[in-house]
Amino acid sequence: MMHHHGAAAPDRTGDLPVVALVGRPNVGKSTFLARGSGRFAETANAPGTTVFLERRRVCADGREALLVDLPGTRSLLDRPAGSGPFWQHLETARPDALLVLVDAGDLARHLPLALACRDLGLPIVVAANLSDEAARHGIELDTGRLSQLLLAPVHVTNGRSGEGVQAALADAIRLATRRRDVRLGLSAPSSTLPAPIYPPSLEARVGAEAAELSARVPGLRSVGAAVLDATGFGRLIEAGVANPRGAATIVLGTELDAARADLAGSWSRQVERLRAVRPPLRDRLERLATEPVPGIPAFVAVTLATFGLMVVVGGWLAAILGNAWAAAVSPALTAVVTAIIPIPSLASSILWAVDGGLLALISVGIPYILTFYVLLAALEDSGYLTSAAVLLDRVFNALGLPGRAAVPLLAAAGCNVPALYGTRILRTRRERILASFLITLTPCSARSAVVIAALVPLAGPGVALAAFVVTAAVAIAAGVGANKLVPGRQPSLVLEMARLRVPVAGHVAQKAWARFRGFVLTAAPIMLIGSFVVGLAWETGAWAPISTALGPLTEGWLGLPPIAGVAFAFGFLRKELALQLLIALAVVEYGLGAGDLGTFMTAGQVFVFAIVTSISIPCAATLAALIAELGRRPALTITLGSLALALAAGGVIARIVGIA
Amino acid sequence: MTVLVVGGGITGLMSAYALGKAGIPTLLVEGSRRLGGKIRTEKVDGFVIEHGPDSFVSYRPAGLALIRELGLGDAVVRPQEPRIVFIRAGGRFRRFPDGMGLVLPTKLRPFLTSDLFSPLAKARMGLDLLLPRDGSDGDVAVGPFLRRRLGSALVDRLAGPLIGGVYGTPIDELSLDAVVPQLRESERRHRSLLLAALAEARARKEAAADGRHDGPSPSPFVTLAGGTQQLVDALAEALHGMPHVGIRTQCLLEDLEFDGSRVRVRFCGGERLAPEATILATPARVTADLLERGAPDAAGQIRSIPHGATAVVNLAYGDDQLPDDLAGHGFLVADDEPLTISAATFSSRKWAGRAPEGTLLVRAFIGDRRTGAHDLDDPGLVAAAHRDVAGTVGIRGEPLLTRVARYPAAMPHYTVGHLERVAAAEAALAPYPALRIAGGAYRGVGLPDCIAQGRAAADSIALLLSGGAPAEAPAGAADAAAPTAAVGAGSTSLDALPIGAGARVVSVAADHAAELALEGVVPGTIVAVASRAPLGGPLVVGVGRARVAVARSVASTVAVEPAPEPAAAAGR
Repeated sequence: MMHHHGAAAPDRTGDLPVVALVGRPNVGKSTFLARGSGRFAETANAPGTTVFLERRRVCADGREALLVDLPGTRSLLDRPAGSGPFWQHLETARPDALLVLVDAGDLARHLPLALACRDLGLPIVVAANLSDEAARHGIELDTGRLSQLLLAPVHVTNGRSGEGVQAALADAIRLATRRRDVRLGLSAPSSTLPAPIYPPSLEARVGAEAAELSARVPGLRSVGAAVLDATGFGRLIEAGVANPRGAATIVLGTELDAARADLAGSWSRQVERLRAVRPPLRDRLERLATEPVPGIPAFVAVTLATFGLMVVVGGWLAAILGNAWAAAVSPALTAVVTAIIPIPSLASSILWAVDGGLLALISVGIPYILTFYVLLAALEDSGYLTSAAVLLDRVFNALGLPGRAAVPLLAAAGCNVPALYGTRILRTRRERILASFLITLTPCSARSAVVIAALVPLAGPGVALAAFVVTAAVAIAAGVGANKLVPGRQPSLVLEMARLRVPVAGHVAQKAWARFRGFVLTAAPIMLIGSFVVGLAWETGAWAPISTALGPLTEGWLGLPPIAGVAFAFGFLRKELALQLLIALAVVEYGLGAGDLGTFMTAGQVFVFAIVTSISIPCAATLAALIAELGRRPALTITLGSLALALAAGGVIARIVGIA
Repeated sequence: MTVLVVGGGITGLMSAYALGKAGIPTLLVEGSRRLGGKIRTEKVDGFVIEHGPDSFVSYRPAGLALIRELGLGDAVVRPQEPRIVFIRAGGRFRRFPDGMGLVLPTKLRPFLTSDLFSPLAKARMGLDLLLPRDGSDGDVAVGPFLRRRLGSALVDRLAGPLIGGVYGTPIDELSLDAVVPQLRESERRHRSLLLAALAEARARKEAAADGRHDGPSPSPFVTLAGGTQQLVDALAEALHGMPHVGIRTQCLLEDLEFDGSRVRVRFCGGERLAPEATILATPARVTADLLERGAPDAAGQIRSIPHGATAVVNLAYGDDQLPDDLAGHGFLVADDEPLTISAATFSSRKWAGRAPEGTLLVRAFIGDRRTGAHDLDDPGLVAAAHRDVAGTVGIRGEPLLTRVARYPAAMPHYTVGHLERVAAAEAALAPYPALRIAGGAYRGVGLPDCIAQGRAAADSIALLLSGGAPAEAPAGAADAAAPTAAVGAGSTSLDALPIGAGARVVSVAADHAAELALEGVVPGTIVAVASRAPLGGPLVVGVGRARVAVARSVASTVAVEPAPEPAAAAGR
């Protein structure tokens, strides 16, 4: 899978030394990387959001290197982000040195990973990160002593403020450069064999295993790929990521872990200087956050506040931007396009794309999606989401998902596309499929906008709320059903709780912006092309046959005017335009008086229309993301599934409200 | 952040060691010049002389567990075979019946053929098979309880010297609940104590048949090759090796200052210290004085624990002074014998390597029963001990070497209601969540009991400092509440643990072991449940300094035992 993301060997251009960042989830690697490289990496205060292999060119002390962010892992054999074991990521990254981030406030928990990295035989630099939080708990480190014990440089760092980051990075680059020079034959190797630290019996086992591995490796070269895959450790040695002893320590990882934990415990006691401090208030908050009371009321409040802010701020921004567009940009664009393009219908179609399409991007994307990303980023960085995940775990269990699925599902309310990428934090493919299905059923801000805009003026906010309740009920029922249908079982939750932190405004803004940029880059072309196609169908009158073809479904089953079918079909391309399209079509079909929904549809019909729109088919961008993330078949199954569900729910409701 | 441990006896040493191992900066202060308290081994001219306790019971695991932890496992020695002990009763030595448990026989035949008891006395004991249960509930004295069931002969000739001797307290005052709660439990379950003892022996035999034991049942007593002091030395050495643990001897506490829920310390000389937590592992009298101002109720309760005087006289003789037929490991003295000593151990016969070739080392113990003995001066006490030993055994001439160790008002008497007093004292300390009392006066006088208490106090402080547990409840560990009660009194699963209760992980089911190990949950880890999510949701478990959410289905596969920690005593 890694190869899809361009992280494979070929980009070792110029043979730059490679430094890989290793650390347990949530130790602040991405923030550290952002500080170290001066750019933003996908970070979140929720374990496991780093899912791509990020590579950055960095420079320190005049040396250049590639810095690779690896997914957070708890051991070399751990399987982060539902991928292969962590050592395979190392093999992909081919580092020359490891920069191991540990929590300065909890060495006993974090040092075993550093020891495992040290065992590989690669040079390591240890960054005792989160030093601000450690200090808050009265913990100070004797880094000199820790360096002696680890036989590796140790730096106290704070990714949030940048303290120590450059120094740690420079050290790692220095070691990586030296090793790269050895690798390229530019300088002679110096012995890097670490002194034995484990009990003699374990060291003997490691030695024996190493001997066996090194005996096997030369043979493997000629045996072929099949054997290599079966014994990936040999490959690891060949890649130069580990020496035979290092590979042996991976093979014996589970046995060594107990010894590592013991060492970590005794070393941490030796290097920690504890000071009496009043336990920080956030310790208490962390405890309260997962208690039923006040945890649940707090969760409800946070959720309501999030959506309240999104609606208020989003609506306000949408109005401003929409008006500004209509007043300034739209007339200019129209004038320019009609002047350049001589064929009126083509000009209009292009205007659909550049005027309507960009307007949609600006009046929906920026106000709602960007606002949501800012809020989500703040929530993620606050560390609150793991508390929410724990509170909601049982609820999500019923849907076949762990509590952490709350993160992408919440994101889905902003836009389905990033939410689908967010499902990478789930551990199994089954969880990802189930979550993706639920995401496509979750009304994104564009669909919510349709529901609100259609129902609130006509039937009042209560009915709009009812539509959301119905949608949620359908989604939950579908999720429960899908959990039963999709084979397998979701594993039980074991998750380290994130610490509560005050989000750093700069990071939140950077993160929200980076994600928004990604969203725009994915969605904008599809939106523009989609708008163009819609425009073309509109201008050429091609929509009429579609309307007729969909007639039985729209009229017969859903009890809606036939033109609603066209609105649905085009909604696939431009979800947020479904409503405008409907009104525009109605004007064409029924005459000018139909500028208002109420003149050609009853409240019941609008309700059904809103429900079907909010559940129905994912938009084109979502479909593209589904295919990219899960493959064609699941993507198609999910799409057809949600379409069937939308039509079924719409038909049933149509019968209940008596319009069909 | 420093934890202060007051008292350098075995309890305080253990507390400091456990805290030190947990990485907690600790200061151990001891008033005298040396560490070890009542444990003192003198090595002179090839003799290994125990001035305090000379051995301890192996069936309370805390002692051996510590010894192994310190790497002294190879130094553990057991009594030499054959193990023959006599009881001096009715002016004669009588062989201690083979297969005797603490009070009751585990083998019927040696007991029936023993000349320790008259046929009438044996018949009276047989009444135990018929007598109904004693319905009463509260604490009673051991003596009357046994007299009612088994008759006075057993109490005076066997139980009295044995239990009374061990606890240095007249058996008619000893608290049943504090000392031998298993007797009460036996009666409740089997009605007859004899039947219970035999059933227990049978069960043990079956266990032996399963290969869990082999050979004759080993003596319950063990010690270290270098004497009990070896344990103290190893602890002290381990503490010296911990840079974050400080030790001060000849450092007396002048007073404790109580400020809100905090306790500050003023040392003699005026130095002050505001420790994060304090463990008072001092003798009860000292503890009571220290607590007088801040917790007068606790001080009162502690002061009401009576203490008696004891003394140990070591005597050495040459082999040429001994009678030819001297046998056994020593003798106990029945209550009604006109002797000053209450027991004599032939140390060099019982333990290997205690005396040079051609000599005998005898350790005479003088309990509190003999009124007047403690008024004697040292030479008088030696003379009395020598007279008792030499006179009864038939040793000729004067001892080659004599040593006296006296412990005035040092032996706590676990009289009826003892546990309630201790519980009341601990409850009265509730306003000071980071203050613990521990030691022989409270929950067991033996070495393993003191070690267990020292460790329990340290563990609960460690947990408190890690924020893993609410600080309200005073120390009162569930397992220490009954010093002799069952060892693995039943582990429970993590999901059944009450919120705030600390526990030690015993085992993890294979399904989730790897996943949990990655989060630091392995056997031996101390955990505490911080909260439970609603709807049967995950538990949030404190593991070290981290918090880990664990689904209940996973938590139910984790077996834990209550760690000696405050809230674990929720039963009260």
